Amino acid sequence: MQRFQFYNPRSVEDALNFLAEKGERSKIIAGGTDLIPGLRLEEIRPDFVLNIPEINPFRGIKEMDHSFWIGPTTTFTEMVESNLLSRSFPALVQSAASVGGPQIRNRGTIGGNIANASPAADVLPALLAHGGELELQSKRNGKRIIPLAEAILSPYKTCFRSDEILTGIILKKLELGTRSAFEKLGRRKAMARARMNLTLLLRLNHREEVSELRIVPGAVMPVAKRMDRTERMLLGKKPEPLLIEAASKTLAEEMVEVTGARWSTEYKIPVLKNIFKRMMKQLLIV
Amino acid sequence: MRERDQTRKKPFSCVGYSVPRIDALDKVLGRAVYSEDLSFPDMLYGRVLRAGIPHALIEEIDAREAKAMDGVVCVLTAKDVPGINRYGVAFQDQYALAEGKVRYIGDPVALVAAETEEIAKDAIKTIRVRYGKLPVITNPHEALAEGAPRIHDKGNLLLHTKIRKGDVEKGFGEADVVVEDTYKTHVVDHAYLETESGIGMMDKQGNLVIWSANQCPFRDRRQVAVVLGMRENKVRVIRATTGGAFGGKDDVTVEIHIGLLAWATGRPVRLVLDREESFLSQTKRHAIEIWTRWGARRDGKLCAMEGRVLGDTGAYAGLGAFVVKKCGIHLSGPYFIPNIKVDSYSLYTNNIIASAMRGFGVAQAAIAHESQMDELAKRLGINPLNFRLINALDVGLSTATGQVLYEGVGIKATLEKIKEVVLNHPSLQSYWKDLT
Amino acid sequence: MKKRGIGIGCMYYGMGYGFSRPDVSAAEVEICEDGSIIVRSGEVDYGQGSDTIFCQMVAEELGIRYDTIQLITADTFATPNAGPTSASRLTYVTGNAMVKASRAIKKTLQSVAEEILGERDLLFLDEEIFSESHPERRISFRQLAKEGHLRGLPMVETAWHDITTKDVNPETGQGDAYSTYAYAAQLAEVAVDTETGEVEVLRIVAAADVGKAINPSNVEGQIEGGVAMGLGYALTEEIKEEGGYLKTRNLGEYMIPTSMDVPPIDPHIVEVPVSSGPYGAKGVGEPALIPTAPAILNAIANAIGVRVTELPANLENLHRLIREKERD
Repeated sequence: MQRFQFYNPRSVEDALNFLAEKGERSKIIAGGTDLIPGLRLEEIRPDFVLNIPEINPFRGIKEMDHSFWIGPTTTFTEMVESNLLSRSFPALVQSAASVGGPQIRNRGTIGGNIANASPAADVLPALLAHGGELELQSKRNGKRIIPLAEAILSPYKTCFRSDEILTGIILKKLELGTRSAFEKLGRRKAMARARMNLTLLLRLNHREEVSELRIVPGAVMPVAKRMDRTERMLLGKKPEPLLIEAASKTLAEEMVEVTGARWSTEYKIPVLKNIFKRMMKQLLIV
Repeated sequence: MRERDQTRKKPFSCVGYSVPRIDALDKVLGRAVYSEDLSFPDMLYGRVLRAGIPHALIEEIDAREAKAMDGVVCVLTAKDVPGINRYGVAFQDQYALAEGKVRYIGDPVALVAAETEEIAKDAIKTIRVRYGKLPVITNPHEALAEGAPRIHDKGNLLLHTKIRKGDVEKGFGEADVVVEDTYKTHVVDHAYLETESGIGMMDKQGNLVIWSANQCPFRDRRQVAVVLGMRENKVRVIRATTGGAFGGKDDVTVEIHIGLLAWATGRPVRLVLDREESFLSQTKRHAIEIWTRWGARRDGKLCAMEGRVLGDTGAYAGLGAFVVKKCGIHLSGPYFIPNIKVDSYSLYTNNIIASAMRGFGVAQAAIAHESQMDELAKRLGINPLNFRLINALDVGLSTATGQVLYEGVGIKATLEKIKEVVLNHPSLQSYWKDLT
Repeated sequence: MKKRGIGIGCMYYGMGYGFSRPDVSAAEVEICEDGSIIVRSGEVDYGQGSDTIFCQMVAEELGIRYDTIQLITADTFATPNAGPTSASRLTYVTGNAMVKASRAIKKTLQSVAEEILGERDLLFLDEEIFSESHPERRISFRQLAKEGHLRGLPMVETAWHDITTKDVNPETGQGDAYSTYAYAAQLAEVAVDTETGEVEVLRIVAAADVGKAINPSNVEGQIEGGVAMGLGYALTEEIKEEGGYLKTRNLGEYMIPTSMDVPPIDPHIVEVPVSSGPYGAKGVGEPALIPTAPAILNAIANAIGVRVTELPANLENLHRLIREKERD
């Protein structure tokens, strides 16, 4: 294991001061489930490691008037066990439950999952589907809030500045009647990197037409994103089987436009279509 | 509670009872001492430089920088080996440290002993090896091809084994149904929880003492002694608590390197492979390609089988020749077949060494023979379990090698047991309505 | 859509090395003056449980407690060579050496006991030696050991067991290849998701002919471990090499089944004894694993009519076969 200085900040201010000075040479550790393997493999070589889980206001789940706030060091287990989240964002909770195994879920945090920005991150697509926003703080610039969709630039790269800390994740409350679902496909039932995952969020109006639809596949593109074209195909229309079939084709095309054809495309195209179709079917039965 | 053993006319007192394992408490309480748990004063940490290139001539090794590093106690290459630089359980075709050329990515090229693990790791990275690349053989077909580059001087064919029982031409002539296919199995790792590890030192009497995770300290002793140029009675190999082996610790793993470093430094040396090094340098299960053809008569009796087994043994023999041989010998499965012809070839390639692993060639053979049995059963319209019962070996019948079995043939009994479970289980029975 | 099926896998397995390769094992049993026992053997228990069953065998023969035996193993300065732990040979080969050494020393003790008790129909049980017809005539194992030592009799015995076979004809491969064989059959029930290529193993029924289970729960443990390993072999585990380079570098990429992937396993011990094995026993280490992968592959074929001939039956490979079948 490489050598570095480990710093335990006493407060948010302390952490921000530390980063203002040494941010360039620092890495923030929350659960460590991504950072520690990175350190071991010497993929990263920080001089300082800033330990933030002990900072009080960083942890927990709160309900506000129009939104929910999730502290960045909230663990996946805490998300899974949260009644607040289960009621309001079942797909997000399912995605958190699909992370690693119990040990990883006990350590790993939502903030860490975002900051690590892995293309195969389990909760990122679900957060994107819910229109998550990130609250960032730094000593120099104070607070800023940015949409998650803009925060991840490329695999393992975010727009976070080196003196910034992710201090909160904000999820707007969904309109009544919104349904959501998440499915993960892995090579085994636990401790598996997603081969593919898919988050769907759907609302129908009183005419049974699609009034809201968000589709975010994960682990199939360098950066997860909403599949606008497919969403638009269904918006305002009745989700008949033939239309869903057509939409599934568009969805696969949208994916391939981003990734290009690779060895795995042959598998991913039909399977993404299949998973999309069966999840739509499930959501429409509800 | 004592049962009667009919053959011995007296009750068993201990055999046949599920008594607790004597090692259970130590293991669940974390008291068991694995070799990585052992440490001695003045202990050094060993590290191996692996080739990282599948097939190449070694043109130059420059270890000056490593030798000059603070905390590095010794750097060894092939020329430092005091005894005979060769080892291998059955065929001594492997080098303790690569000599002249490397034949797979895991070939050991140099050893370092240093005061800390970090220094040993860093030192390894400073050793510069200039290689002259050679063409790479990645599968048995390439290895067998005419004019293929030779991985070893004697060529790429390690062992050819033949089975000739009865007359296959005649046998297939009697067949009403013939099924033929090619099965390709892949490489897997033993993936034991504990990677290869050990610790060793010279004792005050000049004996070399090594504790390691191993499957046979005597076989390791034999190979260590030769490389170190010592008599076997001066080499003490002790099995430390071992966290799984499954065949992967049947060949020498760390023992020779530990011996060399302990001998060269006169200090205790610990050598533990990390998972990546274990994956890239240690033995695996063979990828075997099996072409096979089976014939059966309408009454359900097997009458002939033929097979060709190509085993990718990788860069060195290990126990690989025997694995491929055992695969060929067991290719007819636990069934009586009067006419058999099988050829098995164990071949050198530039892949990671394939040697012993739980199942030892029979795991691969079973994939082929059981698939064949199901395909035949389907074509004959016989339930697959019944089809196996019709053909199962029994007392008085002979195996592929013509060995007549006299007792203890349990295949029918195991099949009957499975049948009983299925027949007593409505949901299982629903799959096989033809099972009676 | 999920489709279900069942399949069977069988095997037989030559015990030990066969083909004239030396296949020998030694064990040494020593009785201390107070009747406590030291057993020395080069045998290696790397997790499979041989240490325990050898203590059971010695205890069985001498009528003592298995868990008070001092077992010294696998040290080339302190134990006699027992050969490697491989080829499912230890129970069968080393077990015989254990029984032989125990019986040799028991013979000595028996003669002393006959002299002291004046009876010949002696039983060694629960740390005592007594006459079956006159149970009141008895002596403790401890006292008997002391008497043996006082008489200067051999209180340590080494036994050597050899199952080396003759070689077969090199041109025809014909001959008695192995000393004996073990047999096993397993049944797998699977659910295949035809939309994704995922295989869920729902159940494994495993029957292994071990001749005689020295320790039934240990045998079941071997079966369960073997099934888990065979499941990984069939479905998820793969070391990928490309051009001689390794692509699978760690346990994050090498997919061993987790406890969530291993289904309920229903182990059945079948005992068809073989006279050359200790108490009729054969090995189970490898027979536990070998039938699993073929049983799963046959169950997949039963479920979806697709024959996997190239392993592993992972998501991509299986889904490709499913697509090919749909096209046909």
